[in-house]
Amino acid sequence: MRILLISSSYNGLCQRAHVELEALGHDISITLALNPDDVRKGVTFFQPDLIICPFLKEKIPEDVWSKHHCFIIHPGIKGDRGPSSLDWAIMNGEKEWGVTVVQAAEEMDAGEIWAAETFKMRQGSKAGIYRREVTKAAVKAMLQAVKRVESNSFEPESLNYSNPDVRGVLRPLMKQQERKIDWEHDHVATIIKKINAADSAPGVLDVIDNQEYYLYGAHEESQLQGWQPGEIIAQRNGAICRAAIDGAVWISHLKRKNIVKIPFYKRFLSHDKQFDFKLPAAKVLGSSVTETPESPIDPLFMGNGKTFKEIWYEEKNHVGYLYFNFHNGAMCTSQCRRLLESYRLALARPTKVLVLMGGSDFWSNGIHLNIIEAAENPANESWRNINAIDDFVLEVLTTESKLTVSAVWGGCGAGGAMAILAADKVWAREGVIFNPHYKTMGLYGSEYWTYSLPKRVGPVKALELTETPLPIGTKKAKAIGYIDEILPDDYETYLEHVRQKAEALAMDPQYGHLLEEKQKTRQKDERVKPLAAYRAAELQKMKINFSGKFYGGEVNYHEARYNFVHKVRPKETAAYLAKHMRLDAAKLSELRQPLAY
Amino acid sequence: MFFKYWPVLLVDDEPDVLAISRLAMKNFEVYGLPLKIYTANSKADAIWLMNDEVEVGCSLAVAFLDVVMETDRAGLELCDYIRGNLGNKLTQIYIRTGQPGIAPEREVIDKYDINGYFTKIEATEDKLYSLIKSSIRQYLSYGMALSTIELSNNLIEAAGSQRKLLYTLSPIGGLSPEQAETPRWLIIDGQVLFADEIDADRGLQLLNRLRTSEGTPLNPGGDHYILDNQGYRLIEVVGSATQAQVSFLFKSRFTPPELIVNLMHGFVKQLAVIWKQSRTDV
Repeated sequence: MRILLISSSYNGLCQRAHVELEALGHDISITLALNPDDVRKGVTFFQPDLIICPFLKEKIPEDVWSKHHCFIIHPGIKGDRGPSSLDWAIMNGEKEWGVTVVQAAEEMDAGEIWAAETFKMRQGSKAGIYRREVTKAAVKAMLQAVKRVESNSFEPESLNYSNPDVRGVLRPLMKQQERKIDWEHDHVATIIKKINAADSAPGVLDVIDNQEYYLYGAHEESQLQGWQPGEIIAQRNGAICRAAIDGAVWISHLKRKNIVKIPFYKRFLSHDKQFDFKLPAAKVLGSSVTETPESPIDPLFMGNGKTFKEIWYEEKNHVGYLYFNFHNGAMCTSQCRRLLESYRLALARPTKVLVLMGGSDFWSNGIHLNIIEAAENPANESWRNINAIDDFVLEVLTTESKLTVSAVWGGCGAGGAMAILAADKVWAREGVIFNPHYKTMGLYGSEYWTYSLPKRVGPVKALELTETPLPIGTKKAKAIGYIDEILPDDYETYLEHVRQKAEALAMDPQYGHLLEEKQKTRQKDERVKPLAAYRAAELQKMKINFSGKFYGGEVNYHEARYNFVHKVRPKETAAYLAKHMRLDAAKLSELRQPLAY
Repeated sequence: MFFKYWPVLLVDDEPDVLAISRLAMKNFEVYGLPLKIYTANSKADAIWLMNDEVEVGCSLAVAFLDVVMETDRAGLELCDYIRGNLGNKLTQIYIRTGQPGIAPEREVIDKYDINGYFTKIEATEDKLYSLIKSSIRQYLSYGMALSTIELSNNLIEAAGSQRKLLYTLSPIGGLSPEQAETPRWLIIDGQVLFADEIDADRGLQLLNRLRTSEGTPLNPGGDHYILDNQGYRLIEVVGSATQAQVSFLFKSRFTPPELIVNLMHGFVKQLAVIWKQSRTDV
């Protein structure tokens, strides 16, 4: 079928839908719902058999949904309606939630139901549940709905609230008033629930030192305590710990409220920097937390207590598991340096296999664009960040004492999608989406990709992957040799498989031989071309991206980063997504738009 | 071409040498631009600086390296680091040693990719002046030549598709944060690339103003180089059946030497031909 995806942004779910449908042989084009005319243009030019809206905040024009099969993927159970579905589900402590594929109709989310899936809720942020449970259920429901359309015989179910199966209700947009934390009365669990329900957007509005901030990234603390609820009692790696009536809560990120957004060029040329985007809490608060004590954490943290931890380690049966759960998968200079330190400590442990587990939502997405944007000199900070991440990747590439595995549960993009290749083996969960390219960010890229990527997929594919900024799914990734194994899409089963496979590797009778082969290959590769030469060449190009000189400097990276950090919507759908559009050569903007990871 | 100053790195473990050199070079100017002097007192310190400051890491015009610092050959190893690990073939590296016995001139110049060697006794202010001046000239010419070749290669690779050409050209036509005072416009057949509406109008106005001057012919085909008294410069390739009309309009803080204008003209001319042969929708 010809399927047009209409989406508010090319987010993870939209990318997954794109990859899954294309893998089934459907002809896919995408249009972002930037304005009604864009949507109409997409429909007119592409003439789809079916329209699917994986992530849509806008209303589709009536002339579109009334003439075409048009499915909305709604992140709620049957009967649930409204723009804050997941927010309410988390706030109300729902045990089970779901995704419904409804036909677009006059009333939002009230059309006929073509498919529905449910899942068990867990404690986690809205974005985390969206990326894991919702995405999995949405893809299943979407594929089922597509099958039902193809069968031509399916009778969709009308929304009928008297049906006991229909448990959802229409709920309004959740406002800040409902999200507000009452520090004097709210328990830790409530505070965490409130922040989770608003994470990653819009955040919970709160007041710190008479200034309004949105709060993100809540983590329970089991040891630290304070006298005054709401008071900042500690900081750790950029996060702040605030006292509550029955314990304390870590808040990793803040965003300042009430800053007027100004266009890129004006901001670009002005020296007045105000950070109206999400940053580590301590950085946003600046001098007001300089007196707050740092609560240190072991670089190779192995404890069980609840606290804010970005890096931790587990070990069992000769296998080490290094987790690094950085917010949104972005790794700033100091995080890369800490990760390198932890990696070295993990290498010193008496294990045979070291598994790089990444984080719960992302393995890694490369350098930290928000921190770079907030830096005094973004070009310098970019340079530091890329060098720091390269140092970590180099350490993995040159590990001779153990076999290493990248176990990819969350997605990965840009530098992160190249860094996974530094390990000897790459295993990925079935639904992972990879974005092994830098072009949407106007960068050449480093992380030794010019060594690792062609080595795995060959030079032709390497160029194809990096030149066309499109996501790839695990099936294609495995077929081209980008990854080695595909693991199940259920978290517990996935972990079990990782353990079994890693332990099997450690106990392999051929282990010694495998390690020796690995060392030989590395030595041979080093003789052919030293890793330092790959890095030098990549960094020479990156330097031009950061700050050119002889013929001027590039703007692509700085503009793309600005747009990414400030969530500036593109003016048009990127040409590589909108198959139906002819390219307008006079405009480069489609290449400057970042992907929404 | 769009430099504000010339970054220079001095590495020496003797603080006096660094202080005296810095003082001596304080008022040096090359093409009317001052030096920006970075100092490091060891190889390790210099490497740290290179990984911390992108300018020191990649855009140094000149580096003066002492040899004997934390080890007998630290400066020479640093030279290898710059050339090898950083892939920097452009910086003009001079070995300045106080102990020529440890690192004899012939051995050093034979083994290491350096641009010159002198002893600390030879390092008078005049010597430094002439070295700085000649090496920055060399750095600029060599850098522009390499950049032009790289651009030409990229143009050839992108030939056939105007979309790809635009991507290749973005470093030249765009505005970068450090270079707001030296704007650049690429105008092909009257259309300003990369500029927003305000910038495009300004570019076209400047183009029209500069075109009223006669300028210097660059070739018999009618291409011209025009400069005005406000620092704006125009390299213009005339259009024909086989090439687009391309204007490269830019502001520079100094008057580029003839060699550099010729290099830039070469690139603009190449663009004019390749652009004409490329399609809009590929």
